[in-house]
Amino acid sequence: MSLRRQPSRATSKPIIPSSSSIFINPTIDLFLQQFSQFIRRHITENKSETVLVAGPPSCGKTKLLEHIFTKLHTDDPTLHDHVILFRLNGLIHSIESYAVQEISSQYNIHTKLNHDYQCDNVQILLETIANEKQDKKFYFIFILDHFEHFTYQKLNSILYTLFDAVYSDKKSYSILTIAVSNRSDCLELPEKRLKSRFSQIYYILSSPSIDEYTKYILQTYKIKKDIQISNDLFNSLTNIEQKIFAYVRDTNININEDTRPDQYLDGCLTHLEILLLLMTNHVIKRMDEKLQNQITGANDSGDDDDDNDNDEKTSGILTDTKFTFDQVYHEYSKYVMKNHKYFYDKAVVRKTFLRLIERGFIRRYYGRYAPVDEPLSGEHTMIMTINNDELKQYVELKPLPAEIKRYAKSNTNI
Amino acid sequence: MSLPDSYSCRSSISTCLEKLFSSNPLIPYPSHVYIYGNNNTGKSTLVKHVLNVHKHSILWFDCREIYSLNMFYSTFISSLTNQSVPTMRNFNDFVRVLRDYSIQENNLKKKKTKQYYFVVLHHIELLLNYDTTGHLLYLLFKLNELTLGNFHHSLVLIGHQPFYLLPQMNQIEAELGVLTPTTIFIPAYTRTEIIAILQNILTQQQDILPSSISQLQIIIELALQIFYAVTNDLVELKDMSTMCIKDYLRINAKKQANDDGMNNDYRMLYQKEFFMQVLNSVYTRSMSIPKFLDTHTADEETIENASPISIMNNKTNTRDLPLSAKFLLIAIYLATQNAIKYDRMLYDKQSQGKKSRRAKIMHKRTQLDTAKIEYLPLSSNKPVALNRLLAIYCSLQGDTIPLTSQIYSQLALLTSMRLIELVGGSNESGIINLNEPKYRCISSSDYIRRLASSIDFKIDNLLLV
Repeated sequence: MSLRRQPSRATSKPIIPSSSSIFINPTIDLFLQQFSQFIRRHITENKSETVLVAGPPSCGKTKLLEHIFTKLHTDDPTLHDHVILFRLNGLIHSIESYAVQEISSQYNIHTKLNHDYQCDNVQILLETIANEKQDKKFYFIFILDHFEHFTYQKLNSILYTLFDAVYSDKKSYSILTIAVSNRSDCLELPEKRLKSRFSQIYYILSSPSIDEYTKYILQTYKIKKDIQISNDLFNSLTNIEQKIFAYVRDTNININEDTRPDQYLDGCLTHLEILLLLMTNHVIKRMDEKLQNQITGANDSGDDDDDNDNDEKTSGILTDTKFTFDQVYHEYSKYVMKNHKYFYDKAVVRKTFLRLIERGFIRRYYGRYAPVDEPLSGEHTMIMTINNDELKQYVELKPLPAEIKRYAKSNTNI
Repeated sequence: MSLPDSYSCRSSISTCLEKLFSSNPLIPYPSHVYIYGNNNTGKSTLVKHVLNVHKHSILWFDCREIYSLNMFYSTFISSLTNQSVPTMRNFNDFVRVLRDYSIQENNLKKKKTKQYYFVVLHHIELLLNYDTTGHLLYLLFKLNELTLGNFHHSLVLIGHQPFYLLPQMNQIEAELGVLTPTTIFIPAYTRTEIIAILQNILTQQQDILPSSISQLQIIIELALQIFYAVTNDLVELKDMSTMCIKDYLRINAKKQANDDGMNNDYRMLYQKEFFMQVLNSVYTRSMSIPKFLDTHTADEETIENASPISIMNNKTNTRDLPLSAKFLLIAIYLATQNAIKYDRMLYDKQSQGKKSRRAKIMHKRTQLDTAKIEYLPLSSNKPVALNRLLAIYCSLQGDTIPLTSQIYSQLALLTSMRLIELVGGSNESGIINLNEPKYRCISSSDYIRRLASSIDFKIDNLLLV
């Protein structure tokens, strides 16, 4: 875990942390000490400040902050009267009116009263709250989750209000703004004026090791089993915790199952569906070859039937070839006329195709103004989401009818 | 409480879910679970059963009944409280209202253990389609955090696709982080399992004699030979099999007692064609089950509301229709399927040779495909003028057979048999306008094709669609 910060303006005695319900290793302990010290100093001196806490998703940023503030209130209950914590989320509170509603709601929870503040902006709201108790100076702590989403708003008055407090001399309140983000470059995102108002104090956290965290979970929940979790690319602390709980509840669960399992083909597809997938594969392959020939300038020696491979569908990225249902149906018609097998009406084939789309084997593109439930027509473009290798493995291993295997081999798809 | 017998093949998955959702004082519930698989594989039934076994508080939302996010928010809150639901215009309002309700409930109850909910979102892909920001799924995962820890719940999502293929997952993973719920895949039923389930369901539902059960099982297996290659959806297979059995029972009821084995074999063989008709009409929802049963049968029963002549004529099969009547039916079918501007190309033999005519037909077919013209299905066909019908008929029959008044009597015969219909001709006084008579074909496409094949007429050569 790495930790970087600018030198602080003053130092004070380190606070020894007591036993807590969060995972603590030496690095986290150091962060807790320094950050707690930082906050206490600012509360004591009534100083407004801005600070960034960044780190990868699910590394424990929010939990650590919650722990710090809970401990703060536990150690000094008198803080509850004048230190108020507000938590805003950039995904839903980046617009000022929403932020105002949320702040007043959280204030009502804090005071257990039911005020109805009709304020237009954050500054007026904070002043209204602060003016309620004129004998005390309030200390507002704002935790801005997903801080980058606040910066996406132009002329964001929430950020202006919070950041301006550092430089303006407010007599009734002070503000500590803690920006929390997954992006370590989020300080580059705000506008120039906001950037200049942000102090360059930042803490960058990283996840503890999987083994350490696994041991901690087993100890906390008194699980006597020895569980080893492999290093998956998508393993986060939340994921590790959930895997352990699921395994403890049901030992038949594969604890090291891939986070991205391959599409389940087994126990999923009917013969007609497999055939349609193979035909789609063949159509895509032919379109790619035709495009490649056009690029390299080779002669196109396809017969009349290949004219149905429409020109507009070959445009786009080479590896992301789009096709239409009509093209696949044309391939299907040729197969049926040749082999006299699997002959069904077009409507049956269309419905089977829709099932493949529903299950995610094929993804459909919608027009900009098209409704989501627009019925599939011959012109709608789609791409395949399963790759050749999966299909190849499945067709080779599974006992399928001979004509399907013959089709797969004869078209040299696989 | 045990699973119904029809879910006996799901016992292992049910056990897994029961262990996952069982209450444990030491281990928390899984916070997010995603269950996925094909349609009608028992996902929601298993989840409901398991949650009910443990007597959990369930908030069940079927996203097929939700048409907007605002509707979802208000449905969610109204499922928690009997009081009037405030207006919620966005997720921010929803979170505030939910948080306020949870705090109110916790304060009222004052229990040590707080109320724990299992929020189940069935058909989650449909709800995510309404999300324009792309953050809804992420926010649902963070609901506990957003409500400041006051709303204790586990989120159970039920869908069809793998989790990482859900709508907007790419955006979420790129911006916000990877979401990794506990995923459980429920495979489709195998053919053996479907046969067992259908036999179990249908023997309970149908009022049949025990002696007919073996016949029932044979029909189910025969039907699945055709249907299972196309779909493994249990509900679709059940509907189609039920219909086949209803038809079989109806035939059985009308048959004489001395039914020899020859007829049985014939019926079994003939059923295959019947099964294909079922697949092409009921499976595709182009015809309802009652309508299909009225108009189709494995033994070609009479059409409902038919006249005595038509009953007599329909009792005999298609081979007994006069040749000219068959050609008339084919002509009217072709006139309905092909646009009028292609008639010259298709039927005018004098201006073109046979070879070039076929080539032109193939060329026109490809042109139509590229021009993306869509033809209406037979059920919404337009009436055909008599002149056009007779012109096409003459083209099909050739020059050797003259057009006589006998043709008009054939038309009347077909109308009384309700194979074609005279439309739009009569005015208010009931007098038919003979200047512009029009006919519409009300026979099914399958019937016409069978008719054409019985006289070795290649109808596909003249169909542009």
